[in-house]
Amino acid sequence: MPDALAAHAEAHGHSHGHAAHHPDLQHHFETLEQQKEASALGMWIFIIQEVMFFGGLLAAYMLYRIWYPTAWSEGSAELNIQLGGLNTVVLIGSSLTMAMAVRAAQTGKQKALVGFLIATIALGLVFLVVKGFEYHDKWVLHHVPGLNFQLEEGQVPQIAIFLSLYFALTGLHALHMVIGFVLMSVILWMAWRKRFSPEWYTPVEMAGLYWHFVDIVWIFLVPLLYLVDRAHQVQ
Amino acid sequence: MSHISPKSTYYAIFGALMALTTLTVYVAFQHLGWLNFPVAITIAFLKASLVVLFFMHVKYSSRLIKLLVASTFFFLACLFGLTMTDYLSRGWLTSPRGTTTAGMLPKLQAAELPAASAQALANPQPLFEATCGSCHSFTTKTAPTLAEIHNLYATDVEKVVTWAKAPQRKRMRFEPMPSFAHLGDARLHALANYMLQQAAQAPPAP
Repeated sequence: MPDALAAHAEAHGHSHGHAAHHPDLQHHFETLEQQKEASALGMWIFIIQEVMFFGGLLAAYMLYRIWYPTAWSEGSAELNIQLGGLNTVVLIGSSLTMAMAVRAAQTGKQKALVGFLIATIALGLVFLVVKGFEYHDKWVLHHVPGLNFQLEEGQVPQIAIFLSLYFALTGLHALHMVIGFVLMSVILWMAWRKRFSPEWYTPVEMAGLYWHFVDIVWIFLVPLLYLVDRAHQVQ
Repeated sequence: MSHISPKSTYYAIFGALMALTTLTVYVAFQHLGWLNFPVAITIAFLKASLVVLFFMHVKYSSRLIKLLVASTFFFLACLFGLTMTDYLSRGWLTSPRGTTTAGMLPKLQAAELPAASAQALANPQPLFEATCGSCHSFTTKTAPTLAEIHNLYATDVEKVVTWAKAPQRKRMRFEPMPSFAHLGDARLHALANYMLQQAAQAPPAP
């Protein structure tokens, strides 16, 4: 390692009297720990604004739910609990593999890191495929407001609002999954090239924070969309 | 700084998340009345907390990060609190005829109701003035006019009665209508008949 540090210092022209340091330590930070803390802080601020981003839609959801409880019950009954439940298991599973990937990075287990990242990406793809089947069902049933919408009974215009919010919320969530997929592919490529070490694995951890956040959004969407008033619906 | 959790912690958290998922689906099918929603949201917050604390390592993070994460609740409370206090209180505004939805109900409950017999309801006009008529007239701007109601229902008395018992809110420009189920079927039928008869007539000259 000292050789590597010296080589790095030389390559960057660091002969101006400051100490050799880890190649991934940026110049404006004292230590790797401080650098990682700054990254985590920035990542969390980003996640909080993401919460507010989804929060706006959820506030609209709450308001319309208070106004149209019957339509919410009727609209939710149109959604498929089995597929929603399956996707919950898949996504929480991907959060587990993501947490294990970060752990593998922390402990310097290169092969495990690559393996867990691939598993995370694979589970993310399974989620999107199931979501695709769900959307396809909705299209076939004419349940897509604005494009393909036809309902015979119930409070039709209000159910259209529920389904619009369903597509907006799950659609934006799916978009976050796609972005997460791209992010994970970059992390996997870096892991493949052995860019991470127990001293420096910040990108893995930050990508993990993003992935877990997307998981949390889904944790809230399932009861809000799929499980409205299920006990009181006429069977 | 980096805390390395044992694998068993992650497996345990995954197990707990699966258990809570099963629980939330199970509870959704139990008849808990208005409690169904708070229970579902509480379970979702529990699950989110497990993910945040253990998968996202906040339990082992600095106080600064912990404070930041906790501040999310503050911002969400602002978003929901300000939005809801605005929208949900809009129906409390005083209407031009001096009644409010909130203020009208006690007045009606205190008012003497005529007996529900056909004889007592032969002239429903006073009752109409005290109930439906306080918002619905030919010229009213706080609720659908009599003409509008007639266009919707023509002679369908039953639909008017059903609506009066459990009103929905179709038009955002009006205050929500309170339920008049407490008047009873007989009075509501008399009122609905009277209202549709009145509505069928030409509006009085301004």
